[in-house]
Amino acid sequence: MGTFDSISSALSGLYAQRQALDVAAQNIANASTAGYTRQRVDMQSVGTLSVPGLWSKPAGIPGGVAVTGVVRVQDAFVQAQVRDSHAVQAQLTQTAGTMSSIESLFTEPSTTGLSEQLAGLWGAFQDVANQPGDTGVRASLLQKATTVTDWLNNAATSLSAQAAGMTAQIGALVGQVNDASSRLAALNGSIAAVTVSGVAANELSDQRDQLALQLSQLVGGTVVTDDAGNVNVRLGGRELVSGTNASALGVTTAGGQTLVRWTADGTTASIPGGQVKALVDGVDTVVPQWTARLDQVASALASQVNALHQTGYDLNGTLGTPLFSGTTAASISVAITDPRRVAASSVAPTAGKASLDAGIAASIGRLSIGAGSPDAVYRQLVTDLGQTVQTANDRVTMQDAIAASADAAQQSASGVSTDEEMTSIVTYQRAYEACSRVLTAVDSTLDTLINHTGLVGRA
Amino acid sequence: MPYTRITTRSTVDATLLRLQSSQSRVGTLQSQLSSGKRITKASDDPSGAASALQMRSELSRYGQYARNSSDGLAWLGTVDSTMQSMLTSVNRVRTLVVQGSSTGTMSATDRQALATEVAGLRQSLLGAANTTYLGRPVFGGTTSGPVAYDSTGAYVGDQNVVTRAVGDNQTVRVDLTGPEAFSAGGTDMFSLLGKIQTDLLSNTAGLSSDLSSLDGVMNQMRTGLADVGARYARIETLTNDAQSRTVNLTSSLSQVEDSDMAQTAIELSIAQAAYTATLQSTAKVIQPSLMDYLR
Repeated sequence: MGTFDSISSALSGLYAQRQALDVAAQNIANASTAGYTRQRVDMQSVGTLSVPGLWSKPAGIPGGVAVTGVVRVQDAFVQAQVRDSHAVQAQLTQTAGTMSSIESLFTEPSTTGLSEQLAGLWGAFQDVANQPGDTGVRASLLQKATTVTDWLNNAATSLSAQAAGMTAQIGALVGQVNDASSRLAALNGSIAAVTVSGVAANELSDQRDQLALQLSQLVGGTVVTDDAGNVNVRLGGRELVSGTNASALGVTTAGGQTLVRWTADGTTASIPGGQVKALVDGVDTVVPQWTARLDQVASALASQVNALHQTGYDLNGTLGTPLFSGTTAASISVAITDPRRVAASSVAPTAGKASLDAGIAASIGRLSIGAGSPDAVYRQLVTDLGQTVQTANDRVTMQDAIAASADAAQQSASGVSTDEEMTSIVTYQRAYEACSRVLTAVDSTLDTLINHTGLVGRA
Repeated sequence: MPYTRITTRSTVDATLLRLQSSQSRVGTLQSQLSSGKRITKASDDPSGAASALQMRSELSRYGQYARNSSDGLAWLGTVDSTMQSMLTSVNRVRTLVVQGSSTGTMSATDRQALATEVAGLRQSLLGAANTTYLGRPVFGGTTSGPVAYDSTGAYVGDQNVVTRAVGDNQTVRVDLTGPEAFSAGGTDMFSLLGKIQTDLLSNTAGLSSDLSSLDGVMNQMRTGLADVGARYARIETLTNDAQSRTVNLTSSLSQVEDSDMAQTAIELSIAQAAYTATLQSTAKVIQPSLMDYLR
């Protein structure tokens, strides 16, 4: 055993406690940094030699402490849970947002929605039935019919404007995906280089985890850490990020369908989840679906009214022509401009004189009754839409709770607790003081040996 | 024992979540209270919204039936009052015919006077038969012309009927065509009156058969009046039904769509209390730190 062993032990303690204090300071500084993972100093006592040599026999006394590393305190399982739950949350939130804005077009139940306008139209037909000879009443009927077609046209336009807005949003988000994946690939390279040189890359790893989370929220996908320590992201079996390579995505619109493609070879990328998937589904499925439902209302209105109207006679005594042209919500319009051309009468003119019968107008005025009426078709649409929105909102509420508990679990494992850091600081500080005290003790012991030994009998 | 490590951020996150959820609850209740509506969008209560839509459409339908009914009542009222006064005139004609029939006492001048009065009555009856409601002759069927009878007393209307929809499956006829009102057994009132005029002057013998024809016409008019009265009563009954249905619908709609003020107000104060409590506990939870106690 060497004379000065305890000095070097105490010195190693001083170094180690100093480093631990540095890490605690870093933790406290980042207590509120998003995505920061708390770090811990791993210390190990320096033991005896494991392979004894001829001249270096183990003395049986350990040789101080060594810092073996500064590690991130992280649970990979919790981390994956956070990513997955946030990917689902982002998708559901976007879906619910899409559904809500579709619902807001319909403003039901209210006094301004289509059901009220339809009721006004049927009322106008009955008013014409009451006064078939009055062109003022007929003109007001045409106005009401135009209000209904305007409403349908506007709703169809708003729906397609919404789809266009969503397509633009997909483009912007895919840009973000490309940015995040190329930064992630670059970080894979940097972290590998830094780690090889023996330095901890904890802060870079935090950044990388944040990017992986962002990608999950945007496009879902599977995040895998490979043997080399790279974080790779897979989308439907193809790698978005593999090591230091990132594959770019692009958006194309073909045949009314918005598709996300791999820029390299133009094949369609399957987006497993996240906000982009919700938007793509919205443009390709949800908006067309509700437009089709709206078209059903327009088609029921046009076909049922026209069928009756064409069998009637107008004020000039001529056979009626279709009142509505077009059978989709976007194209439906009132085909008649002259109020006298409204075919209210079910009776053919006698001797060239038009009849003031109003059987047709009365029959059209009763179209709102019954299962297949335009009103019933529309009512079903509103009910189904309400149900869909409610379900979407409920799922978001549920997923919010799941994501929040995953976040809590992650915070519980990796978050910084200032109280905990304070206790650590006190511990390290005390240990540092104790090491200093050891140095003092050794020093005074040696002082006794060097300066006060062999002086027996001296004056 | 498993324990969850609580960190500074997890406390803050959890507090924030709770604050937001209780604040959004307060917001929802507040909007229900201020709008007075429990359902403002279909997703608030899809099935409730469906029945609200159904009820609204039914309400506007019944509103329309009420308008149709009052229009129908006006038609029938016009027909009724016109025929009442016409019946008085026809009755006067009958008296004159009876007078003219008593061959012994009447001079040619007297008959001339009777014939003149009948001619005057015929003219006023013709005017009454052309009574219009909102520009349409009420005895003219569905004719688009201005009169039911021309100046010679010939019927120029048609045989079609005018009806009003007064309920989901109820249609009531609101007119009476000229022939239905004023012709009996193939004898038209105005040609009969013309014949009476001639007979009074030159064919006294024909007056007795004229009298029986006139009785036939008067019977026909009374039958028509009874029919009109019955239809009037029917519309009134249906209108009453529609009114009570409207009242019921309005209250059902309110039950489905409107928020219960008292209940919502109480829920709001509970939510507000919860929110205040969350705020207070937040103020207590976030502040303390070990640093306050270390020296």
